[in-house]
Amino acid sequence: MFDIIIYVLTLLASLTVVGSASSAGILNGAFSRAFAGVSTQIVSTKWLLAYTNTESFIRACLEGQVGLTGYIFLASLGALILTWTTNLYNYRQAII
Amino acid sequence: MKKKKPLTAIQFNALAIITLVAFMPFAIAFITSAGSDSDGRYESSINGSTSTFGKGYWYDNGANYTSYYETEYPMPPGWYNCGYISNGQCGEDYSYSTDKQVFFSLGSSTSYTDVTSYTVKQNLQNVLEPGEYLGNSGPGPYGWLVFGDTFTGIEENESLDKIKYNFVDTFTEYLCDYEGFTDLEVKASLTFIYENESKVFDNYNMIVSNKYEYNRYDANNAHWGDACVNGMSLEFDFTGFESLSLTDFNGGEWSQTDHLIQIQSIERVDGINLGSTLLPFNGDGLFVFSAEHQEIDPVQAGFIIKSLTTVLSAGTFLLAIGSTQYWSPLMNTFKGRI
Repeated sequence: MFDIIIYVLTLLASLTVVGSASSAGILNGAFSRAFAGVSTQIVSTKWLLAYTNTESFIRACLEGQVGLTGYIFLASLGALILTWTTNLYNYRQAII
Repeated sequence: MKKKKPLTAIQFNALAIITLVAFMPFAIAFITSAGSDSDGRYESSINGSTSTFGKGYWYDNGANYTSYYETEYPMPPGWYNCGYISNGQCGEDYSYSTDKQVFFSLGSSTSYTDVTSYTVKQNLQNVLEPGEYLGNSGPGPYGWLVFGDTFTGIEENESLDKIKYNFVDTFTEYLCDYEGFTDLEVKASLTFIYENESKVFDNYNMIVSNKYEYNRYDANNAHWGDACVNGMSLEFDFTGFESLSLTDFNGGEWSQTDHLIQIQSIERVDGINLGSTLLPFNGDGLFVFSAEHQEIDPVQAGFIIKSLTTVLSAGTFLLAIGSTQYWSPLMNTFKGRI
């Protein structure tokens, strides 16, 4: 369940990478954009889930082990996901 | 003086990604290890000799081989009811034994190293005569519920950083290059039980050896030397916030906090079937149990965790605001004021 937050974050991040690269005139083809996007998400998700303890920290925050500051962190993370998703919907890029 | 150029969109995007996949994980790693004991020295969790009867009981003792023992060594009905223990209870036929649990009932304390340990029964010592053990108890599950008053070495109000449980069969020595020693992958969990409430730490995957080496006095040759025996150490390492939440959970009352140590499965790292691989707690004899721990400074850990999480929250929130079109007007509002 806690993995989903990381999947969403890395999806938004990979869309940002592809969008930025595309704006800069790189990755013009659909295949190269798709390849770069999928690769970025796989690598960043693998990194965050397998080599860092981001997932266990998020879980600890949700379970209240980090106290009030943990909930504040989750609210900030939620605001970030919400912002990037809204941007993606309205402006076709996560960060404007 | 030359005015600094504002970040371009691409630069900001790069900064956002770096913050997300690089800065944040490192900050979280720092938070999770907050307050950890850096000297790496363990203290014995069991001090001196205390009353030893019933300091815990078997919770799970491996696969069910009751039918094999009933066929191989016929005994009166109900004899083998404690040959298979599951969730702390013996088999359903209680006609022979009235106990539903197999206690660590031998209970003499010993010091085979500088840590105090208890001599306890192997998984089938209760029902088998010497030499009757099949040599195999399967890959698990195994479990032990050890009562809180066993851990006299953990001071009240102490916060645990790590705890290590040692299971060692000191009664048979081997050559140190004995081919029966191998690495094992152990899936384990630890549950603390306090006032009928439990706190579970699960999904531990450990690579451990079944060789235990220690220094002991060799009475036959009258000198101190290394001995290699069959043993296994299960180490449970807690993050800073887990340590603090554990102290919140039991109020630091360790003498009243029981430890349920569980092994869900054991596999050989070399891929060979576990078969009759040496495991210290399996057999019809005895082994010794000990525990060691490291503590955490709760004040330091609490400060680092709370302050760094606040910084991380502020950074994430700023990143969210920075990702919107309101960033520039917001910065213009503060320009010249701070």
